[in-house]
Amino acid sequence: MHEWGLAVGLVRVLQEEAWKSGAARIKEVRLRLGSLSGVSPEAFRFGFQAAARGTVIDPDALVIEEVTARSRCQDCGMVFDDRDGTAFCPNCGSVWKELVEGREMVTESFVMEEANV
Amino acid sequence: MCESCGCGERDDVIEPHRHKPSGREVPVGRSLLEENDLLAGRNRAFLQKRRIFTVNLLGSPGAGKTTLLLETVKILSERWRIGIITGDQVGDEDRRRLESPGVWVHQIETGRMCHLDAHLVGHSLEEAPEDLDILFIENVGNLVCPALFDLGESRKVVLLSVAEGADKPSKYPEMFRWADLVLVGKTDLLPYVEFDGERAKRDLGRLRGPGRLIELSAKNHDGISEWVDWIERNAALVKKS
Ligand SMILES: Nc1nc2c(ncn2[C@@H]2O[C@H](COP(=O)(O)OP(=O)(O)OP(=O)(O)O)[C@@H](O)[C@H]2O)c(=O)[nH]1
Ligand SMILES: [Mg+2]
Ligand SMILES: [Zn+2]
Repeated sequence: MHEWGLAVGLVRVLQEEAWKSGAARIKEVRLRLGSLSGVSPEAFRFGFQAAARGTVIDPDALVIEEVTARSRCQDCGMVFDDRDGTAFCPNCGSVWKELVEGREMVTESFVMEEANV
Repeated sequence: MCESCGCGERDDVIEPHRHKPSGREVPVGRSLLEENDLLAGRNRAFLQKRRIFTVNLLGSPGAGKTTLLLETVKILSERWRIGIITGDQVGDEDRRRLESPGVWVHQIETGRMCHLDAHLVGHSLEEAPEDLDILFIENVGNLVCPALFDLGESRKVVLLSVAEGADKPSKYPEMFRWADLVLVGKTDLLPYVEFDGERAKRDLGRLRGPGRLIELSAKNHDGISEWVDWIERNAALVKKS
């Protein structure tokens, strides 16, 4: 599963960020996952828990915000929910559309405990 | 008050609740694919500089990727200098099958990894001869994971064989959605397998709009010239760019 590799990558990035900001512990990690990102939240969480073990990151720190994909109709401009990417424009029926959001897999922020506090 | 941590939230709610952690919030704003995309960008720049048209060939295990490449390269290698990078979890069987005079073939063994990534491909490119015109990257047979990883290719091509069934695009949408070209392969088997081509086309249309599709067989060469044309037109464009 590719989620494992991505989770290991996130743990590495967080360790780097923890070091830069002087964090002793990371208690919460906010991740935005689009419904068309190709990343399964469950598999990712599982990988993250394993990858974070033994680091400054709490294995249960992950908070995943799932984002439903939305598309914009290129004919009438309507923006509509397109969770699995197969919807046609509900207003005019056009198949021409562009994705507005839904592919993202972004680490937004983390909450840390400062060293020597 | 919550017994376990004293956070002040009600503890009489049945479902487990999450305590808002105290501490400093640090913004990050980095994509999980950041590193891969950075390296893919470098590969792309490298390939563009050398004017190499690069195809990332994707599909299930056994879809016929290696066989198709063998037949394709036989035709193309008379006119173009061809390279092939082939990825498998274990072994170099595909490299040995593909080896032929004048063709550069490089095997990547991914070990436990179920897809190629830009980092692995970047190291292979370091070994590529300078005069390549066309590079094929045969990805690990898998309809899920390789879809996410940009390798720096010019075009993504997904091969779906009729033996796999027409439901694959709707079951593995991410693989097909971003394909620049879909190949429907092993059409010589159509009399023996049930493949609802209309359904596959309808599902593909929903995923990717009116995108390009070529039906072909590596065995009897139906459709191969259309595929070869597509490659040569793209390779010529890259040469001129
Ligand atoms: N009838 C028929 N068989 C084919 C065709 N193309 C490939 N095959 C057969 O399909 C099987 C798998 O082909 P490969 O080319 O090894 O498939 P692959 O996609 O490279 O497989 P992996 O690298 O393991 O993912 C072989 O037995 C091929 O002979 C075709 O066009 N028609
Ligand atoms: Mg193969
Ligand atoms: Zn519309």
